[in-house]
Amino acid sequence: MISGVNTASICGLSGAVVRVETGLFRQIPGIHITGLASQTIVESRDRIRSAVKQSGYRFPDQKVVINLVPASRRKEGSHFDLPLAMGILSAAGVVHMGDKERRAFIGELSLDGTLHPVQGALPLIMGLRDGGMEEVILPRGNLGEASLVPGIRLKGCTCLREVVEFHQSETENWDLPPDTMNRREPSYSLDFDEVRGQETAKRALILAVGGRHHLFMMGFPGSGKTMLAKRIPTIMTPMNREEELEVTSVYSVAGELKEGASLLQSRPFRSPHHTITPIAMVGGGNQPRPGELSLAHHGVLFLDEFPEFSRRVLEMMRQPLESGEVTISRSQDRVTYPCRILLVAASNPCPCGHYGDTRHRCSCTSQQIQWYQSRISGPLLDRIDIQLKIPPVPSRELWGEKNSGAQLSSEKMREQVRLLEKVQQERYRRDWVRNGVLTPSLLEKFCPMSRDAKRFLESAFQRLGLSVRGYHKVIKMARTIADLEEIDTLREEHIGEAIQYRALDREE
Amino acid sequence: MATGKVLGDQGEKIAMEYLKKKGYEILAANYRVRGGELDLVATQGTQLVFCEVKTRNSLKMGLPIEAVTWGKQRRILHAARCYVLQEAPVHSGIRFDVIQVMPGNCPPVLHMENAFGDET
Repeated sequence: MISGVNTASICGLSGAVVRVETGLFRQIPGIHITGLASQTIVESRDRIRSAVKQSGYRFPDQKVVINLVPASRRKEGSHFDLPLAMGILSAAGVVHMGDKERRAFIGELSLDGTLHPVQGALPLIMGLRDGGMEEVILPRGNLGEASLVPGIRLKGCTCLREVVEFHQSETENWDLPPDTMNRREPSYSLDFDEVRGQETAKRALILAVGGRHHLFMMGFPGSGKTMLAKRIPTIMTPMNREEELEVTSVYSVAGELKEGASLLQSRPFRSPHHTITPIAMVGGGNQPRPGELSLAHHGVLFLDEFPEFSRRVLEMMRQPLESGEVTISRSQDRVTYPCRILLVAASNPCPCGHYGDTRHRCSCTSQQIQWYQSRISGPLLDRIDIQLKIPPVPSRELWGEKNSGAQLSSEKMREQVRLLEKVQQERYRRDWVRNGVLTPSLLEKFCPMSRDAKRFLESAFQRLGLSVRGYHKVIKMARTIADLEEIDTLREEHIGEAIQYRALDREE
Repeated sequence: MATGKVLGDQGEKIAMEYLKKKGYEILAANYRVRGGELDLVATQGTQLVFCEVKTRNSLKMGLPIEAVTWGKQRRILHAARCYVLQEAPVHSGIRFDVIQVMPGNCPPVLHMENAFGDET
């Protein structure tokens, strides 16, 4: 007898329906799996056999042939255990699936028949729904993230026996979606009012977040670069539902979602160590997985000790930063992960950290300093709009009255970010277009300048020896600065401030 | 003390008696084809059972059932395929058992049902 049950497999961030056909034949017993199954799936034979027996069912003493349709697509993942086991039990006549054409299964089995949660449940369920499925039976641990998908009935189970009994019983008790639907404002334990001084830097951060300008900070050790960077997510506006689902999908596929977790509502903040490999940064591997770039999707990617990152890593980030997505090509297939991020890089001025510091002596040789700074320039820095020097905090600000109200708090900064987003949304009429991604031709269209501003920019261009790209970046920045005041035509003071954010160019 | 072939034959006899007592019907013994051999072929109800019998006097060389290695299993599977094709027995399913016989032991027979199958 041939049975058929449904499941899904993941390609990139989306799931696609896979049909599991199971046949029993009176030949030498054994389980044979066809249809481009990965090693994990082939290994599932022993888990399934044990789980079926331990759950109290007889394992067929016949040849079991399992075919995964479509046979041309590669299939990965341990979530095939449950559909394969149900296919065998259905073919053996233990359960009847005759009229359950729109029902699907995902889940990993352990030897005793317990169901374990799987990676990528969210995209799997979305793929099943889009593929026409109406009901999904899955491990209880995945119920949280699965219930984010509307329009599909779910049943969370803890073991194989429970799944079988669910099918044998007359009544079907589907799980009601838990109340994950109520929105909570993401709360952060950090706040910008803990940062003393650095008001210039805070303003630059507002502009960076609001206009989505990538940012580079240079400063002495302990001047607060990391402290500032860690607080950036607190001034970003909350994600909308679609963005939250995207972020949650990425984490689900990467296996970084904690068991029982549902929607991720806080903006991601990733700070990989500088020893990271290219694959870990952009994603990839034998079984493609999203890298840090994608894990920072809709959030912040913070690269501390920026010059220490390997050339290859930085090179590979260029293209994804521009297109907002990473494409990983394999001989078999191609996957795409999103990576719309805000890049924040930080660095000391030299290996020891005190070059140019009036209070400490720098112990580096001139070659060392040159080598260090040469690594900061280069193609990736070209993608960075804001270059900022973080000065050491004067002691009087450190010991000053705490609640003087002088420091900008995260909430106040977020208001300004929100204003910037509103202005840009009205101008570009698209959700994700920001000043930071404007191309030169669009710059001309969207950045009208007063005559004074033009003259000022021209003289600055000559005096500072700005490159053409630097010139464009100044205009982009000035656009964002003017947006903060809701002024349409760029003025001299906007250009002036924008030039302040070219700290490295000005030095040369 | 029995050795070699004599010991093996003795063990197979003990195993056959054991299966008969448990209600199996013996279809064949020492079925040979090129590249493989079946010690006992029996039916339990409608199920076809191929038995490999391993007999030993001591544990000096390890447990008898341990001697049914992967290579031995391949030869048994091959012989079983030949048997099914040649004899075309009517059955509902197939099982491969290993029976360990240690004449001095009490009990002398250890019957391992469904010991292996055709998987690589």
